[in-house]
Amino acid sequence: MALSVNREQRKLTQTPLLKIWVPWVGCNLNRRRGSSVPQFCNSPTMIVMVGLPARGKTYISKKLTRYLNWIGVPTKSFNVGQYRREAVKIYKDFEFFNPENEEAMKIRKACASAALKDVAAYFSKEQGQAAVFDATNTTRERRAVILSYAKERGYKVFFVESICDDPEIIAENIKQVKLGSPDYVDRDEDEAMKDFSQRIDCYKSSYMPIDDEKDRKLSYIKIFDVGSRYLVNRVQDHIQSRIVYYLMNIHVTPRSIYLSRHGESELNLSGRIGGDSGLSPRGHKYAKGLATFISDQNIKELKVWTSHMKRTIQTAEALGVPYEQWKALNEIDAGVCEELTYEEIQENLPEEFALRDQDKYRYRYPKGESYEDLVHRLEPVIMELERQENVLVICHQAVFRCLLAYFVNKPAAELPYLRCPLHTVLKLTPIAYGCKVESFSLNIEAVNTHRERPVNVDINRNPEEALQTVPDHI
Amino acid sequence: MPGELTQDRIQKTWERSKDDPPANRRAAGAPNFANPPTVIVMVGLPARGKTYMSKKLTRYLNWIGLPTKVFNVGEYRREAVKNYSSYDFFKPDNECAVKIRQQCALAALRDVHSYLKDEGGQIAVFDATNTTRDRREMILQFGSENGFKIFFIESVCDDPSVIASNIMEVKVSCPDYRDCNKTDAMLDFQRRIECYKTSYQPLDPNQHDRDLSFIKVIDVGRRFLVNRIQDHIQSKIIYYMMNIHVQPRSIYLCRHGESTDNLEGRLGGDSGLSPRGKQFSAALAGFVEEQQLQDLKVWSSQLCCSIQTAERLGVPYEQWKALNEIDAGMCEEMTYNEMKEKFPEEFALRDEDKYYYRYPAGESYQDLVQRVEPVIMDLERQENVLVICHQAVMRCLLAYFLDKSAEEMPYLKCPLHMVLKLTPVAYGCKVESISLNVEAVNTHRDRPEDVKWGPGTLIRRNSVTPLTSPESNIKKPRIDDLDEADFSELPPSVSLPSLCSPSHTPVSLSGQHWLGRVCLT
Repeated sequence: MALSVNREQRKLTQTPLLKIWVPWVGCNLNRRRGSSVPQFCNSPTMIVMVGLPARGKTYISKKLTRYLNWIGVPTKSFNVGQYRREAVKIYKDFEFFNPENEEAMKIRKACASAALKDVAAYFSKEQGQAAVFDATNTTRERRAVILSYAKERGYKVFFVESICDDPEIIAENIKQVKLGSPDYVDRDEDEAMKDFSQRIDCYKSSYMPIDDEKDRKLSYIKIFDVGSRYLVNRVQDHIQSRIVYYLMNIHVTPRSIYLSRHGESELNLSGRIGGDSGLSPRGHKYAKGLATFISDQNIKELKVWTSHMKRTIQTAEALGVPYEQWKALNEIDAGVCEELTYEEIQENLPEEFALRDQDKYRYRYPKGESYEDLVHRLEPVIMELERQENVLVICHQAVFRCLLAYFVNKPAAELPYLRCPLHTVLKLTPIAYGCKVESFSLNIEAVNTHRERPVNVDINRNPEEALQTVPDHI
Repeated sequence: MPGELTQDRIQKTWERSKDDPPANRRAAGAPNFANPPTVIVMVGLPARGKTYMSKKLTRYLNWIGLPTKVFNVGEYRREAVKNYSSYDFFKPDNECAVKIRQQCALAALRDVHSYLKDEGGQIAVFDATNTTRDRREMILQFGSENGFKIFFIESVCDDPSVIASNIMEVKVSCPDYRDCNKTDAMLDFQRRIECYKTSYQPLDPNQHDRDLSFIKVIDVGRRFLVNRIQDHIQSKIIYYMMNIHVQPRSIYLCRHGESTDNLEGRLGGDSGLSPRGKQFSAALAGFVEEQQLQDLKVWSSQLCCSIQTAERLGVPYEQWKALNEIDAGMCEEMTYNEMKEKFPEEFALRDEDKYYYRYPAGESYQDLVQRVEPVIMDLERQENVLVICHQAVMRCLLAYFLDKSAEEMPYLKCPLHMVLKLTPVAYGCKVESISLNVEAVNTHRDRPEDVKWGPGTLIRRNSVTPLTSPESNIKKPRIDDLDEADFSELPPSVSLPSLCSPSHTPVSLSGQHWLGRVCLT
């Protein structure tokens, strides 16, 4: 690289929204440099699922996609079965999957091709960085097609193969997600079960698992028996390393995650953000109510986590059970705006206030954090939540939104506006491909701390327009 | 009100008031995940990187706050048998030697026991070949009797060039071969390996060992087989093992150029470079070019002075918020004198315990370690990297690479305008310090002389104290000459109560009848 000796020292300016220092405001460093961690994907990555039906491929695809998107890697999953349902409107029976059925084979190949084309479009036109190709991909031939497609376009390929021969697990999978699929909408359970088992048999004869010898140059992870064992080969880069780590930490044991904010705090009452105040009288009441609620739920081996801030710890104290403190669960750092009311922010820093409304996810408080920073801070908490079973997390509004967005798959644009009222517990129970959410309000009054996006987000708006959506306080 | 909370003055953590019954064990940054203690058991033929991995892993675990120690059975053997003669010692039919080797393994296990039960250790790395099922069975029993979790790390490698290279790097220069030339040493060591090969029983995930927790590292990390991860710590260990590599490379650490805040003696802030700081950036650009590195990655923090420095290099660079300087909270942008004036108690507390001290509404070095851990993980994955950061952050990173304790970390010298070049070599890290000859203020504050040294500052904190990977403190079963060994008169220190109590004669374990006799004297 040639360095010009007389290179002028350019003065840096800080971008107003992201608070990133750049040589000049319009430069291209402005784009995509906003995140708090470097961008790790240079070439796009195709994550290719491999395995017989009912081995959890779609479950893994969806979960992985959700995780990657949450940590800021634009990811999309492409389920070839859905393409097939589009092409063949009505599913008759397992004979469609008979390897001798030439016509069906043509259709299935065409569907796979269509999906591959969409993957390419996602990468080139929609700035995608990872795509999960969710299909059985059980033959070497099919995998060769994918590999050459990727090679031509410079995509990296990482295989995820799920191997399981435990009949109980497979039957359970079929019950949970297959019987309710559009393919079996008019069948009774036993019939559907029988048909699906025959469908699996159609694949078995031609199934060639990834071969440790022949495929030793490929990058892959083999998951055996729902995570009891893993074989990892040739991890090429950071993103594959993260994917492997994630896959090794998730499990399918039934459990529930309870999310709650701390009880109402003194600062909440006066409409001030941040700080480290203690609970108000109503907040203490909530803590006691939470203790009763938790004990009524009769939860097996519940772990309780709080932040390092006084109000979450006081809430946990009332439960009378051991709890663990995570600094990573602390509320978003509002920097120079700590302990101000929204009115004060509008008065002293109207531009900042407007910028925040313009892009609440990426907006970073001066000398503080953004929601995007929060997500990165919370990633180890999410990873540990995946490892754990029953957990109650007592945290704060912005943190709660980030965690919730992960579990119910809300995109960055919606995340900062998720409703997380005080004195309400959310119970999240993973089910099928998603998450059941139950909301329990403990019927103890509290201030509302939720501020909707105002209509006018322009920097030059007048104060009334800015303060339009501020909730009431003392 | 039940359970009034008070805030610990140094760590700023909220706890129940002191007269209440002791609070549940609280880690400062994140929950303590290392209960019950774990014994990591290395498995593999000689020259497969076991000691390399043991030491590296131990360094990492200590840095993230889990007291960990390596117990290298080879060292016990060198203590017991002062003069190594030749590979004949390792012949499986050399009965005398076999007994000594077993005795050493047991002595090491006894020290593991003591470390985990009495010395506050949380993880012990048992570094030996452990190539037979019998030996591993003994260790598993040891674990189950004492409530320790057992996790195996097996290194499998058959690439002759890798093995030869390992032998050259760490074996020919080891104490065993101090009187040999390299060729003889190489030859002898290879014969030593052959002695182990016939009895080597690798971990078998399909049948015999399918209920054990382990990771098989195959061909220096090309492939991994992971079986039955039990908990958080094992998961982290696996993640770490999968990210490290042995490709030669160098890591360059430096601070941003001198900033205007530095000139005024101010903490933190987000000011730009001073004229001398700009000079440094230019010098740094020249230095980088001189190094003629292939594919150098450049990382900077998101603070102005660091970015200005990176910008001057004229090459692409990545910004990490995690590399930002320690947050001095309410003391941001104060000079030390202003801090002393406005917050005299805080000022004193910081000197009392600089590692754990958290600025009011700010961070501590301990928080920094947690924050910077993903950077370390990524540095392990990378090859040549230049990290442009800040004083406290650089101390954190340096402590990781050079295995410095929590106590030492906040006082490591990281002056402005100096580049540290770290090159991994053998079991450690070579450090070259390169000054770019541009003047700058000194921002280093030594530990003040008059600070009271509270007894056991480290022990007072429960879980998250990074300790330097401790030097081995082998209790020495001394046998000066093989022929004179008389086993019935071994000192009682060798006995291992938990394994050898009368109710527990290990008669069923092959090759250990003698042990029962020894222990009961």
